[in-house]
Amino acid sequence: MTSAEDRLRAAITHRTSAVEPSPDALHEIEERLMDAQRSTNRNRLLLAVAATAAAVAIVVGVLALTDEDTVDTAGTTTTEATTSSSTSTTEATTTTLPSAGVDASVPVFPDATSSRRFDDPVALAQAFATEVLGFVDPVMGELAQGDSRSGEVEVRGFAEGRPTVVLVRQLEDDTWFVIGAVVESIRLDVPEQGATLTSPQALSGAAMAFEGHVAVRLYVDGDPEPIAETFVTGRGDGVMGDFAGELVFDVPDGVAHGVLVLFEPSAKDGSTIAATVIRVHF
Amino acid sequence: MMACIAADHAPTPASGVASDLEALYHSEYRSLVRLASLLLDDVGTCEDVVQDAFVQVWQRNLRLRDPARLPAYLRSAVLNGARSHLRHRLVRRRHLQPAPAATVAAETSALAGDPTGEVLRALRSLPARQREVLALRYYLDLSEVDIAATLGISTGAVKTHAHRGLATLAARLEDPR
Repeated sequence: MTSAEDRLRAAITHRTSAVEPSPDALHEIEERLMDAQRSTNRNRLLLAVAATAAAVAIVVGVLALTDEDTVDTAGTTTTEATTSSSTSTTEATTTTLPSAGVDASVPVFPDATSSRRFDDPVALAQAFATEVLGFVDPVMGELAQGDSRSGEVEVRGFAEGRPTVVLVRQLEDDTWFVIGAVVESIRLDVPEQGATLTSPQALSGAAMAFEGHVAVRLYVDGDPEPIAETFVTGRGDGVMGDFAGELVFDVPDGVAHGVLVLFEPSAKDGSTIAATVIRVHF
Repeated sequence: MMACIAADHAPTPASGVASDLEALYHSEYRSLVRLASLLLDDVGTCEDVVQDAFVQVWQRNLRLRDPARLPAYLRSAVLNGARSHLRHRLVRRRHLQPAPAATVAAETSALAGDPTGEVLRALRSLPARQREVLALRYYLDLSEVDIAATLGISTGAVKTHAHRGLATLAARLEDPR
């Protein structure tokens, strides 16, 4: 009788020997490298231009403050314009930009109607993990690019933990937003991403967590506190187990969008160690 | 069979002078695409993942740090890319959009006429780490130490994943339900 090991070897040989790469792959790699280099150069150039503009603005500002005549003339206009377009921020990776242009129904984080923006997708995922999901000192992965404007960042509660994959995308204003997150151990079938919720909302899916416990929270845009909480129970013995539950909530007037978070709290300290997140509407 | 497998990825002089992209390409590209083909359905996607891995490694100047480890860096990048692709697909199917039935059917039927398809389906149904350990072990014939270095896990974890993966594979092949 052939062992599983022998069958695996035979299958691997059969599969791999049938795979022949395309002959122009080296050329494709070189093209991609050139594209990447061009993009890097373009970013450096933009950075240099921005730095120069900022330096000029500072000089103009200083001159305007020290020279009354200049302030009374064109200097005022220049200084005001510069100030409004270069608002300082507390995070190196965050840029404050006008909120116009981003469809507020799409992003989970940050709130598109606020002025908070991220230039760095990993910093975005980290802020999302700690501020929204409740991870404490998460282990961050790198950006795995999906296409030129989207990708995934893995977040773990601890080094050997199960990865929560945070989906990130550059939206209309070219800054990064979280559009959802998923962990293999918490599968949400109902509601689906983008669903319109009505109270009481049925919840179903499958999960594998400590003692099967999965916490559920519903947030609405602009409010850091959940408007509703419950929990569902999957399985805790290392295999996925179906869950079903119900979420009762009351949406404040005028709120159209929210975020549904299902997460596994750590048995050790209650911090989040895995989460699945979808955008919902009301 | 072993000789046939090993011929795909036998060490070449190129790995010692890996500052040359072309040499690295000729020594590693084919075996990496074939490695990816054990984890992903579509060969085009496999090539995409491997080409991304080359770009990542080159962009990060990893070639300057330790040229001898370039093949290992590339293997890690390919496995990460394949894992990422599978997760992204999982998300698209289960999370963001309703499953496109035609696509799923096409992908699952791709292995249907293959006499070894049952084994590969079982391999791909294993948890990510287990299927990667088995692919590295039975396709590239890597040692436990090298597999551990590639995946960034301990050799003990490699043994565990290999043991569990083979046990699950054997059970599924015996009773494919």
